[in-house]
Amino acid sequence: MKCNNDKIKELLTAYLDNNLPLEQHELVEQHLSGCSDCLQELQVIKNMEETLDKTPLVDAPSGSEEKFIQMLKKEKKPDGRAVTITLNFSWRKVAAAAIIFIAGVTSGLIIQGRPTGSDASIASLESQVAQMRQVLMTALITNDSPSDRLKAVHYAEQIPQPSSQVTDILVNTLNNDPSVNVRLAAATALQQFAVHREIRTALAQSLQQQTDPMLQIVLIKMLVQMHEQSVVPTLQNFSTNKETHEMVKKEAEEALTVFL
Amino acid sequence: MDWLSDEDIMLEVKQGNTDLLAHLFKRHHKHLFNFFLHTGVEYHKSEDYMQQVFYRILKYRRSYQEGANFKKWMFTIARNIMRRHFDKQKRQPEQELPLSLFNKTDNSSEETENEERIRALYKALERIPLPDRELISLSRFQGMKYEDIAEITGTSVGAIKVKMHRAIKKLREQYFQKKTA
Repeated sequence: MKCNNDKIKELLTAYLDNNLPLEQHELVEQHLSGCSDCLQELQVIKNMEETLDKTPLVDAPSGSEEKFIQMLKKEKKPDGRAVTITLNFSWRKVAAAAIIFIAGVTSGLIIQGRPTGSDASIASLESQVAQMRQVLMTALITNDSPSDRLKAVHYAEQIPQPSSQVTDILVNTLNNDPSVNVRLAAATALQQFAVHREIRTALAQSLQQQTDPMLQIVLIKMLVQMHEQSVVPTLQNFSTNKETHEMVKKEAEEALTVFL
Repeated sequence: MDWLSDEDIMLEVKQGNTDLLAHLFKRHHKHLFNFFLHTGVEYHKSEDYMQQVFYRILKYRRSYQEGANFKKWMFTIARNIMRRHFDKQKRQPEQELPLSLFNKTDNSSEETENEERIRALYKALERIPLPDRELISLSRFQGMKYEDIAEITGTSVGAIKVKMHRAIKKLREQYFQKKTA
């Protein structure tokens, strides 16, 4: 007898896979006990599954593993030049080196042995330096000369825990500085502080307004490494927009493939 | 190495121990290669893409998130590459496996049977739509769970169950139709 219970039929494959919740599983089982049509259908599916089970995978072309390992090696050593060091031994030189070494170690031990107790003053010195850098940076960043502004970005980069004032200036520089080089430096500086959500978001937003292909590529690379999901729509834009630079498009398309 | 999970190894790779990626390649490249073949990518192109997937894993290793299922990530990348491939060339010519694949010196009956099965499978796969080929490959040949396939393809598990059934049904019709013809 022909069975028209499509709801049940559609579940038969999942049933065979043991992939149904208990309730549905029992429902199908119950139906099968009274429907020869569906039982027959089940048998046909089973046959197909068995055939698939017995079909082996095709081997990859020989040598593909070596190809991959070669690639790994190449990526690891971008400049794999061999360096040979020849040693000219002379006992006098060795003895002299040994004496210098021992002297160094001993004086090191003596210096270390001295009571320090000046940790606090070192810390305060460090914070003073950081403050100085910030002052210098805010002064230099408004200069007309791009090299001065580069210097400013460089100072900012060296501040271990920058205030939001510093990062705001960097974001502003990244978005508005007329020189690509300065913007690029700002991007690199900001990358260091990417543990902060706001900075990642700022970088992602900046990508939308950058027009220089090089900067676009650098930003895409950074944002993918940070796994910043908010960049996905921008990347999709790049890959569909006809005006996007070819290289940027390629980078964006590739980046899109690695987002889960 | 065998006792380490994919995820453990990938975490090491992420931390700079990139040589270890060779182990993941060894484990998964055949599956990856067959995934491309099943979906209808030509033989040599499939090898290219397989290498590309691993290259991207290497290049973007730092974006791998701790705890994420490695195979799921790998097939997500593979699927994106495959999709782009078919976006670019809409009209797909028939899949031709190289004859050399079957020119094995071993002429045992088991070998011949396997060869026939592979040919029959590819003939049938060719005649069903891409989304169905993809589902069948992931679930039947790459051992992916419904949950993972749902995530990779961006649908719900419930939908996968029904889609899976329809895909197998279509495959079956092509498979056995061909045999009687």
